[in-house]
Amino acid sequence: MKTNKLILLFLLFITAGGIKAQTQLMTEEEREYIEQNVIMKINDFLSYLPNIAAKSDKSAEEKELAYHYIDQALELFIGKGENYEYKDQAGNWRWHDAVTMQTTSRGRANRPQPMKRYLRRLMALPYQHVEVDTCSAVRINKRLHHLGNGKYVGSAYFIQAFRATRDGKLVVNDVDAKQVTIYVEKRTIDTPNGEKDYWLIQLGDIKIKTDW
Amino acid sequence: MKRILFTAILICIGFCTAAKAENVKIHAIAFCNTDDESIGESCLNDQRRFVEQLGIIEVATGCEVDWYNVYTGKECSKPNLESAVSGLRCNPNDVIFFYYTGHGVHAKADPADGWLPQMCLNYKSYEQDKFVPVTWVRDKLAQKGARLCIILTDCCNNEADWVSVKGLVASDGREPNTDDINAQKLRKLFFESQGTVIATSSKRGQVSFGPKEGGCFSMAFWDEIYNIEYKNGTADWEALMKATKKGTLASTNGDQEPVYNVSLNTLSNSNTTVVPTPTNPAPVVISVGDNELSGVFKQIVNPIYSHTERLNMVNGIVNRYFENETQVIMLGGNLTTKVGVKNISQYLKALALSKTVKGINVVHATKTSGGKYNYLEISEIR
Repeated sequence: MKTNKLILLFLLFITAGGIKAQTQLMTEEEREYIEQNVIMKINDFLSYLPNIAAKSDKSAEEKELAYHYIDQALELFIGKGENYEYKDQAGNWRWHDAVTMQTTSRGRANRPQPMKRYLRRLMALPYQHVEVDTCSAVRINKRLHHLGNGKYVGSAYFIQAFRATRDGKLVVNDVDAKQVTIYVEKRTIDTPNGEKDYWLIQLGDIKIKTDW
Repeated sequence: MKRILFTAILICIGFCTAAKAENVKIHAIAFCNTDDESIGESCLNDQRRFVEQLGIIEVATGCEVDWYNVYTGKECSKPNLESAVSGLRCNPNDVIFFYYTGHGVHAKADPADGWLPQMCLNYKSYEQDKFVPVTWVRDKLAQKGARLCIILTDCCNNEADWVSVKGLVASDGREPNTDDINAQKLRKLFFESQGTVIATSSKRGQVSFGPKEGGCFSMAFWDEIYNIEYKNGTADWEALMKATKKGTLASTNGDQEPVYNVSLNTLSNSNTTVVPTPTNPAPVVISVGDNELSGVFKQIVNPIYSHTERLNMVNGIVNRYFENETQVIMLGGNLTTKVGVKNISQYLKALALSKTVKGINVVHATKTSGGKYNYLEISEIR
């Protein structure tokens, strides 16, 4: 049922822009390297969080840097943290809500919140040191599912350990399994060396996965 | 007919004057003396509660909170306070929420100082020349043109003869949950009020109590916000401050009496003002050797430079070596699968901030007749 919803969602998804969609299929070799890139993107996202969250007494320079990390994190997601446009099955342009992030507090899942809001608020919380474990446990769920027109959708799972300290004491120690939607689309771009096909790889909503 | 027309006009006025959530930004300015030996823990809990509770208001009402100006520890200083207040730019629909938790004191010699204390920030008594009067903050923020200005200070207000008069020129563990919140009441409070709300935790001559859980005044304030959000609290600033005062008095056995002033007007339509975009620091021009492209990438991922230093190199590198519209095609590990495209500035910025990229393989690059690169195919070494 969830897979069907994801497929339906992605069928509706086409971002705005003047770049042509292609109909070519993904080869096995391409799939392998695209999946590697997804893992890199998740790793990048998690690597940005400590700079955003720690420390509470940031200097002006550290705050500027944290904002750069927030921007960089948002670049990884479809819509870049804003509502984004897609074309529905009838060919009409529609708006989709911005991607969301779901976290846990003391083992309880919180309501998903817009990614941009999550990241900005993270910056103001009173942590002195934050560690986010690298996602060595990332795996792509089965295979990317082909939706036609060079578009694929899938999901990846990772374990995130978020530990924050204050005065040397561990004040947050949340470890949870998360599922992130992956959107992959074949596109073509004009370059000084002619047209080039490439894969646009973007992350979507991040949710708590209870049946990991 | 007249009644219908009158009702329609009233509805129109309502639509015109109520600020829409997406147009409202709450500018949080918080100074918390979290390093103090005696009250640091209390202030830390005040800060946590402030961020959590304002975060709940942000989610429930759908507005945006700007968290840039939250200062704690050694950053809870006079220069930061002056720059946060002076540098603030607001749109007419915005809300300013100034919050201070720390030590405070009242200059005994100053009859004009009224009921508001001076904030000690992170300074000791021998540095009292750096204390900042709340009235300075009030007067400065009043000039910002925000629709609503809330100023809460949780600090002592006892009189001291060693403090000089200053010129005015110069969590409780409650889980954040917005599912059952009465967002309508919060919107009324934050989006349908115009004017100033200013309060301090104790009247002149009194101390303020700050157990380790947080300041009594702050806790009473957020408890009443909670009543508004989830229970039968009245969404009205006068009622809110009255309840905060009552709560503070109750929790301190009558020893701490907050003082406040609520000065609110009817909403009016205002034109939007443009908030200037902050300018980036001046670019640093780097020097590179003959093998210029490799040198550029080596420098931008070199861990001997801080991420800020690397970021500051980006504009200089782009201007010197690349056409502005240069595209960078990212290749997978097989050096053929194209896994992304970025503009050169975006790509160098990502590299400057990256903690995982150790080097770059330039697989293919072309230059224009002007000698600048206009196309790159690269793979990252992680």
